[in-house]
Amino acid sequence: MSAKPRVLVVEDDLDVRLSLAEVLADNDYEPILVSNGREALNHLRTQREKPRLILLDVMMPVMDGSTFRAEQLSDPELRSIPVVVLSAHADVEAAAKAMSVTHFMRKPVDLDDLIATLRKFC
Amino acid sequence: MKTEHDETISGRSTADLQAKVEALRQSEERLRLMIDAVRDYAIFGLDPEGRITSWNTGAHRLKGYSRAEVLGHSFSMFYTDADRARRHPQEELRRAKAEGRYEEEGWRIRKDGSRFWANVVITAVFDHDGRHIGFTKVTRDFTERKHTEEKLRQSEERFRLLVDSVKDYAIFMLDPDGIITSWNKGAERIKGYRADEIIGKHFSIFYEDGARASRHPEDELRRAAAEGSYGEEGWRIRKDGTRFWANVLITAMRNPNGTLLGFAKVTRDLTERRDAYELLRRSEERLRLLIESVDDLAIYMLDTEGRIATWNSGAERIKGYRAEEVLGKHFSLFYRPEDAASGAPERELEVARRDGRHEEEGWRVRKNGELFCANVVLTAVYDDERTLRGFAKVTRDLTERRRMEEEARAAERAADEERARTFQAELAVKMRDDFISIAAHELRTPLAALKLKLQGAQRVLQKNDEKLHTTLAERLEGASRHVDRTGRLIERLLDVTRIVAGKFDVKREEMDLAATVHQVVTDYREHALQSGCEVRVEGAETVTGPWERQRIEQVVINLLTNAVKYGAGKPILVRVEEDGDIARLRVCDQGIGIAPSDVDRIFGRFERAVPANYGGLGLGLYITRHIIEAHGGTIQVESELGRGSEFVVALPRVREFVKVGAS
Repeated sequence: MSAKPRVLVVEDDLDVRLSLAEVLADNDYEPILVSNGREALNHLRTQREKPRLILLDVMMPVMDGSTFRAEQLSDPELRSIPVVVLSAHADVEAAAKAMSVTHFMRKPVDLDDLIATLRKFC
Repeated sequence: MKTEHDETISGRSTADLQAKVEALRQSEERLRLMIDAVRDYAIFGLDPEGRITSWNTGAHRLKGYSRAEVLGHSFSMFYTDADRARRHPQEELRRAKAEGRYEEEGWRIRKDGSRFWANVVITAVFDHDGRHIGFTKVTRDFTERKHTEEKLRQSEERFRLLVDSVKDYAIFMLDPDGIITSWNKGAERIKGYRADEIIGKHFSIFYEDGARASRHPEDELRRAAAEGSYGEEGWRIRKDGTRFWANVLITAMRNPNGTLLGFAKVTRDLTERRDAYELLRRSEERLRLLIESVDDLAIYMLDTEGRIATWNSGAERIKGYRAEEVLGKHFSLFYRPEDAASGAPERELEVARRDGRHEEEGWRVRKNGELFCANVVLTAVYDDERTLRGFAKVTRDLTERRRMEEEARAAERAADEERARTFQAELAVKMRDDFISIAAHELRTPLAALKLKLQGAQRVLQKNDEKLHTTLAERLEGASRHVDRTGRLIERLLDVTRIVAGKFDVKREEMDLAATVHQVVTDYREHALQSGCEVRVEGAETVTGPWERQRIEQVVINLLTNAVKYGAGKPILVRVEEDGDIARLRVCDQGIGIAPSDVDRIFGRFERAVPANYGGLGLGLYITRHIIEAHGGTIQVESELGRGSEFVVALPRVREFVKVGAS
């Protein structure tokens, strides 16, 4: 299991989170699931082994995607982990740009696109 | 003189002669005594050489010398040094001898050296034989008269200088016929003529042709002669032909006998004053017209007793009286009888007179008996001498103002309500758009999970060859397509929001329209066949341009689904053309067509040309139009009911924003 590349899924919707987990597992990635930015930060700061990629939702309770991203960028240890924004937001591109993220996917995400993106980073 | 007698009596009887001599001597003595007694005249005799031979009392008194002091001396002693130097005394004697008599006036010297102004008459004396035997000289002291004359002369000179130096008045003399005889500087300045140019000319030269033709100048003189003087104001002409407004006074001059000597004419240039007067008059005229034309206020004057002196159109409108009906009447006319009886009008005048001003609001009566609430300002009007000239009265009809205020308030309320309604409408639109955004977001989220699950399942199934799995895989694929369709529906709703908000923009990339058309047609062929429509693509193999791939796809999908939907199961032709800088897409069906009256509105929001049982949001063509326009292109439709429709899209193939024609 530890050989599989880790992908951190930050997503508040349980259905989406579990679906992503299934897809990731089917394609030989190790999904780590958290439901908001705060949990994501806690995880990243407590686990020695960092994920290869973070799939980040934008609108979440407790800590939203942009706050998480700001915290991540201000943390030298976490800064370099690539992020892909996944959002149902109408203008996901603008949201991603505002968070200094270059890769984004609009929900509902096409599985092929998702797998292509995963392969690019992991 | 004795010698003469001595000679004439020779040869006559001595007694007779002696008697005659005695008589003569006595006569001579009387004459001498008489002459002697004359005190006011110096009368003395001179021999032919001018030596003094006799001297009377007057001479003594006048010249200061006694007889003894002067007898035998030359009379030149009485002359000034200057006269003596030019031998004037001798010249006098010569002329008296030659002409019998010489008279002059001049300065002479008294014994005490003082001068006096003398009137001198020298008469040559001849004997019976015509021999010149000497002169009698009669001198009179005219010093006083001289002084008087000098004073008069100086006075006249001063007067002349005065007249001459007056610059503001043309002062000149006319003879009885009107010929100019003198001219001062003021005349030169005002009229422009120099004295040498004008003296001797008739004064009618200063008048306008009309006045000359009507013999007005002569008439002026006639009236001045008859009445002593004549004055008027009128236009006169300067030398340079310009006019000036003159104040003219002509005074007849007569000698003590009443004989007309001529006229003095004094002319003043009042052009500036007239201009100022004219300005003032015009200004007053404007003010009067202004006040008269004020329609909303009754503005009028009362005399000091409260009688109406002027009336404007506002007064006529508010009070209902015409000017001729009220001028001269007392302003208590406008008061209620009980107010007038209680002396209210007089009290108001009294307050205005005392304080300068009185203001009140109260009831007044119109001509038709109607009461109205008026604001009245009464102001005392004084002239420059602080004499009360009357009162200015300004009356406002407050009933009208109140009505207008009420109308203004009502209009304001209506505007407020309208603003509130607009605000509510805008709020509703915003809430709807927000709701759509949220709804879309909410819908997408489960769709995201569903799609991932379906696609994941598909992938898992694809790893097996079993038939059951194949069937399941096909069904899952169908489910995935339904998800995509739901997603597109959501996107359409969002597109409407973007278009309305003006946030619809294009993310261009170089793409091939023909390839996109082929792809969409391939994807939709089966769906079309299910509706009985065969779809054929023809035209260019490749037509590239800088467009947004997804949006252009959306356009093709929209047009194709519309063609299938309204195509009545008949063949559909899709054609791609390249026309220089323009790419053209034609989608042609043979379906139900569109009524001409509906053609214009099918590109509007939520509009459909067909009954509701056809389904759909009615947004397809609306969004399609906006996508094409955002690319700088156009979309047009040609259609005939029952024969089908052809939609023609034209897209510019260059990046610059170019509006293009569709055909």
